[in-house]
Amino acid sequence: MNEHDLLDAIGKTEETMLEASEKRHIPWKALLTAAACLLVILSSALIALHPRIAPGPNVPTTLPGQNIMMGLPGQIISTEHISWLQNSDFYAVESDLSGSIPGHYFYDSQFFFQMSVEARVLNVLPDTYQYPGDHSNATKYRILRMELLDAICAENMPSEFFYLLPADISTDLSQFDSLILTIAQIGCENVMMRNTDQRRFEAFRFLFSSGSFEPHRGAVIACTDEKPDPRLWQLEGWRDWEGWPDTLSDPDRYSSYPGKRDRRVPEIKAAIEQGVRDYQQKNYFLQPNAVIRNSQLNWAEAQAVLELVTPFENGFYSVSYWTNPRNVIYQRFANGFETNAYISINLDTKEITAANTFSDTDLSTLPDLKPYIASAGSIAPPDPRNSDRDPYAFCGVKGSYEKHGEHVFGIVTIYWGYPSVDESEPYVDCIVRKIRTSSYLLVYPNGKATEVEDYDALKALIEAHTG
Amino acid sequence: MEDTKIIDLYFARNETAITETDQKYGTYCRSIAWNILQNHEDSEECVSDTWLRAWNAMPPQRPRVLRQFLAKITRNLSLDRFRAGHAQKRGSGEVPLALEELKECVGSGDPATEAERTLLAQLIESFLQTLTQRDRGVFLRRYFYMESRKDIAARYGMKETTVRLCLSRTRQRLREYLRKEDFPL
Repeated sequence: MNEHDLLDAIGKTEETMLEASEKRHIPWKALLTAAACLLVILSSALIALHPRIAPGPNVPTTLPGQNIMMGLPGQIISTEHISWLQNSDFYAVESDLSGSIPGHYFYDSQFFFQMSVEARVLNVLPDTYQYPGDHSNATKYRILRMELLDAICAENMPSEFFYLLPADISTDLSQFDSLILTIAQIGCENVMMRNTDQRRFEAFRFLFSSGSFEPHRGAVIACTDEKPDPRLWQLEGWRDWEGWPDTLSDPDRYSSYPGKRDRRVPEIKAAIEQGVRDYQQKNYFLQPNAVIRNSQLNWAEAQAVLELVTPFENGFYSVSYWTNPRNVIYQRFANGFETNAYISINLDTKEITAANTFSDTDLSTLPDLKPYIASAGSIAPPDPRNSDRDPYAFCGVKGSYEKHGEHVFGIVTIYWGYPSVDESEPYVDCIVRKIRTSSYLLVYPNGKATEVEDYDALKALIEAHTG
Repeated sequence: MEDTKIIDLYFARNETAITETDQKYGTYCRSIAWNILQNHEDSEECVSDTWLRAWNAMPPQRPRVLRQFLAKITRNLSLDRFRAGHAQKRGSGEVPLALEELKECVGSGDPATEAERTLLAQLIESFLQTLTQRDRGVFLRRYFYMESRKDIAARYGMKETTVRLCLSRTRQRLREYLRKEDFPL
């Protein structure tokens, strides 16, 4: 033990404790704060007493009707992967996925003591997918339909789920008896992914990934005959990370990694369970609709919102769940693009907020983003190893709609990056190390657009138009 | 942009997350890196690496406090770089001084095993909770953020000698705490 170890241990201090250390110790501020609180309380009392001011949630009783599916040719939203939850016994426990960096993080591996399951591959969807905002040529995924065999540390996991793997590694995993996976839930439900082969958006009720771009670094333990199967490391893409298979066999390295070679499946599962207990990583599966249906949170306004945001009846919404504060957020999509319209339900205060709601008129007059995205998307990123490349390489493009006051705009965001020139790093995507920037097109309802160079200029332009 | 929205961008794999993070926390993280490295180029590299680490960490992690989540990454990356560059010599900056001070607590033996490091982190966490808010803040400003005693004194409205005394007392208490917990020193 030496001073460097102590310095490293101090570096693991929990974030809320660090946050408290940043607050300056000036007692007189407490007096001002108390005075401000008193003022708020008095004001609230006045508002509550005034007959013409009605506090409380401000949720419209209806929202605009059916989503209009325009957008890129052939771009539709498919519902084939969504099976509506019918089982009233299927309940959720709230999840605490936040927290400091896991206490046991293997620097060279992507294994986390979080949600873990044993599953087998039912089939691999035939197409390639990207996240909706990503129109670059990199960062593509394949999606596997999995059958749950054992929820090791994943309460209330569904019997089938979808699992994301990078498209550049082999998905020939059905040859193994089972896979032990450390997984993270993506969003909460109705996760939108862009099918790049069929040129459409598809919504997946529940979608999981390993949580990293490199699941071959230990996030998957392939098992045959109840023990880790080294054939995994012979598959395309999985064998690229040299050293890891030897590490698994070396008894002196990473002894607490669950998938060491000499272990059998029951021991691997026990090691995972112990790790989750040791590092207090909670591991519940999030289902906000079920949370809202929980008898403790059963109030009329929340039920009204739930009826409103049922996907494909009143427009398409994706759902996410925040733990701090505890909010469920329904974000509206239109024409396959995200918007800044949302409904937020605070599970503690019961406050419901609907913001930037799009009217029927707004939806029927949305500007067409196709030409702008198509022209930006036709630029292929250059090979960064080309020595005479431009300093900025095109990385990707994204479309969205925003409502500000009574005005609706389309926004096309074009990402520029400076790809790494380190030859040891594969050009996987445009997550750059040095310089990043974006340029924007503000598209008006008449279809014309103004180009601006950065985010501040975009905000200023929007403000100029909205007054 | 609010932290919750920035984290949402990470989860949506929207690369604007990095731009927003840099806009909001770039200066903050650069100051942490500078405290340790005292070099602009190295500090910039560490901050860029911080964004990459954050991108890889979220999801699945969803930090409670984004600012401190990033601070930890920057701080630890900067320390790694400091060690790589100063293995054989003493340099300027607060890190060598901080290391000298911490020797009082644990001595200067062989590197700890992985299990010992894990246990030590847990003990530090519980030890910090035994301190007053001020003493804890002074300790973390010195040994997490690597601030100078002078800057800490200004932050807390204390004299520099008082900061030195506070740190010395806390280090003694830490040593006693580790002994009481039968931690091998």
